Amino acid sequence: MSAAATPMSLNEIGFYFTRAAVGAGAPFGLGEEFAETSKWVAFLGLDPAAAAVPALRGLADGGSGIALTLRRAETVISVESGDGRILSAIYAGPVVADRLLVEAAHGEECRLALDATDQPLLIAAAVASAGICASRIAVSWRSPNAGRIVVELSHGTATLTGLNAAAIAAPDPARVEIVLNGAGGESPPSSHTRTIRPADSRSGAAERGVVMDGAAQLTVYDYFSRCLVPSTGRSRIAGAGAGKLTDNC
Amino acid sequence: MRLERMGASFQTRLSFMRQLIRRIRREGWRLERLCFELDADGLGTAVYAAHAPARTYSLVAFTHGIGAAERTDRVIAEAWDATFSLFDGVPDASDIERLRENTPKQEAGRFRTSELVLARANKSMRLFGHAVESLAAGRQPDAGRLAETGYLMRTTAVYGSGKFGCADREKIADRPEMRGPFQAELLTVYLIRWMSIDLVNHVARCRGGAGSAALAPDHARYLGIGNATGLGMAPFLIRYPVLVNNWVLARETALARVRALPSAGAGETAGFMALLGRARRYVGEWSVEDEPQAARIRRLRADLDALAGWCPAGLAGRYPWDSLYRFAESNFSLEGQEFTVSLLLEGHGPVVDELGEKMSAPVPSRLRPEMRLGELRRLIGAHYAWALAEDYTRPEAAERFWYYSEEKLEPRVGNRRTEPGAEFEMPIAVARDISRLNARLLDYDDSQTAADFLAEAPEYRNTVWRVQTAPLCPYGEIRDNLIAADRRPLDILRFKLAFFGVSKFDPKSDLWTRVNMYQGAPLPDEVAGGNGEEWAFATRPAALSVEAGP
Repeated sequence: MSAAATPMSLNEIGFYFTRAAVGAGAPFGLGEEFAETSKWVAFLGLDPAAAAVPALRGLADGGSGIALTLRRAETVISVESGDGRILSAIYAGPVVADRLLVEAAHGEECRLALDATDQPLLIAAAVASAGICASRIAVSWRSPNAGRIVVELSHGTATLTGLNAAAIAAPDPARVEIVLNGAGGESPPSSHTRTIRPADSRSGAAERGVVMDGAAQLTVYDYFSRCLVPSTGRSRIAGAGAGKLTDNC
Repeated sequence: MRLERMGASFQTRLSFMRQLIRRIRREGWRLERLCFELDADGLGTAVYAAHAPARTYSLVAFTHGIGAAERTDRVIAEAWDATFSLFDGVPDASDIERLRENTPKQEAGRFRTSELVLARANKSMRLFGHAVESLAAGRQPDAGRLAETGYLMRTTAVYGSGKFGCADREKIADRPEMRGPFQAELLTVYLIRWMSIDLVNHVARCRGGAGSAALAPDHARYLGIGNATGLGMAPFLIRYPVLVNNWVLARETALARVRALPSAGAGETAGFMALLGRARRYVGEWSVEDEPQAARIRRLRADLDALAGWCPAGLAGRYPWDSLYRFAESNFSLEGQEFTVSLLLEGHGPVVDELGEKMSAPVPSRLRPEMRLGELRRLIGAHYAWALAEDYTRPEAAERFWYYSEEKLEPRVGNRRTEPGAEFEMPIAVARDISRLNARLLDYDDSQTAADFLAEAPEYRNTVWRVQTAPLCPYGEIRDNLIAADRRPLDILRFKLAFFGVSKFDPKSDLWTRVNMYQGAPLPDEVAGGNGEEWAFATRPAALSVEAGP
């Protein structure tokens, strides 16, 4: 962990994180979802930059795959890697959230199982950000260091178990299980459980900004910078206000 | 909405500046200069406060000495004559010290959520020096020079909504005085205008001493704040179709209400004729170097001449305002038609003004993954037939791409065929992207869902959302191919600026324009005293009148 950077506004998270994903290789629409998901990481009381970096890195360096396949077997939907690589959470998060929204409309119990993904927390945050109408959603995965991690969403609260800074910033690729409207995926007894109201966190973020790890924030900015276009003499004359100085008026 | 008509837009009484000034007047805000510590050259610190009923907002201003070569309107500038932060509340000494370290750096500074807006401005060297010289000698500035420029300072950026660490829009969106679009930004500009007048008076007084004069109120009122606006505004309009829809819907609803009025009394007709007279003088005084715009202004003058001739008989019948609108629609240029709408709304505050409350937008709608692709296809056919008509493989149909430059993130436009960077273009090529989506959907069955499709084709995610949003916002889409070689970004800018409430569009190229903000608006003591309700179509004060216009 490095020193905390100056707090970022939600608007800045939207701007920089969207384009960081684009800089890492995602299409713009997924970049926007990634930014929204990252805000929800903050609303869950966690560091969005620290969570973002492993996913950005995995996508950019090709360690994470973007091809995925959905299969349904009775009440379980499997989201599988299409090429054997671990799944990119930037790609898989919106697919999972979309599928849960469709299933939630039926009001029935449903389970999703994802192949190993590069940042499980982003899957949980993508689900949280989707505004799914369900009595209960439990997202869980297992970390060699932190044990079983569960993010449980119910009636406007989020209960987080087992998450610590290391599990966020340096996650081990893990399979993720999601339970919608059903039993299972309960939080294990743990002293590392806390309950959060994301709506309150959101108000707090708007009031005070979002604090994040300085080094992680710089890494996000590095990916963001990849989608900036180098300036040339020709491009300079095509910018807003090009060619005019104010001393002529 | 078509670009050509958007590029003929004018302010109306629903414009956001107009709404702000009405609110300040209606609610009796107290406007106060809290601090004015400037040296004889006008360099130093000033703080201006706007006390709304429940809260205070303070403009913290720093003025600087810069070289002529540094004075540029562009985003890539590094120094400015004045820099500003709008503070949420009244800043204490430590706040001002912190801002003194950051505000002058602008984009390179870092801000807190106690700051709502960041802005900067340069002096109009054509007018500022002359005004100081004249006032110091005890006389008012030359009429022609005052009217030629119309402002003492020109803002080159006004950043709000969470930029550089400032507060998010979400922090203030529920406050009654900030609920409308861009109210914090436009309050900032109004206070900057006040400071610019104080600044010129102060420097003149320091130079001229007891023999100096201050700007006469009618001179000061005629001075607005200039603004140089470029490409940065355009992506905003593409990104928020529901918001844009609500702006246009309010205006169209207002127009429909006025047209539905069955008759006009004698007083109402006389009032309209007086307004038209003022508007004709205003257009007569509107002068630009840009020849295409100059030609449009000449045609507008002719349109208004024709309107003045039509009115005596035309307004005597039933549904006079509807008849007037139809006359304009049948006979006028686009600028003439849009100006007529502005006139029609101007005289009907009682049926128009409350619509200003409806010009914000709720949280954007979410993508609907459960939608069947058959329905998605139907929506494309119903709302985007115009986009499907173009062949985007023609080089000129997709020549331009918009992007952020690595140079201070300045928005720029490039040529796809000859310049690098198209892979990082901003997502404003709506028409082309819809066409691509439509083609890709041919590979899928109508019964499949958007979720099925997007799992395999995630690159269409924002385009699918856009199509799904279309039924909610009939006025939300610019129905033109924005990346075609012959499109003018300027048209988009003008549309947005008109909703802000600016006047005197002065295009400098197809990419940017100068405008005047708050020209003719009541001065702080006037508006706080409940005066100066109407200020559209500002004309030269009597003492400055010259033979111009009708």
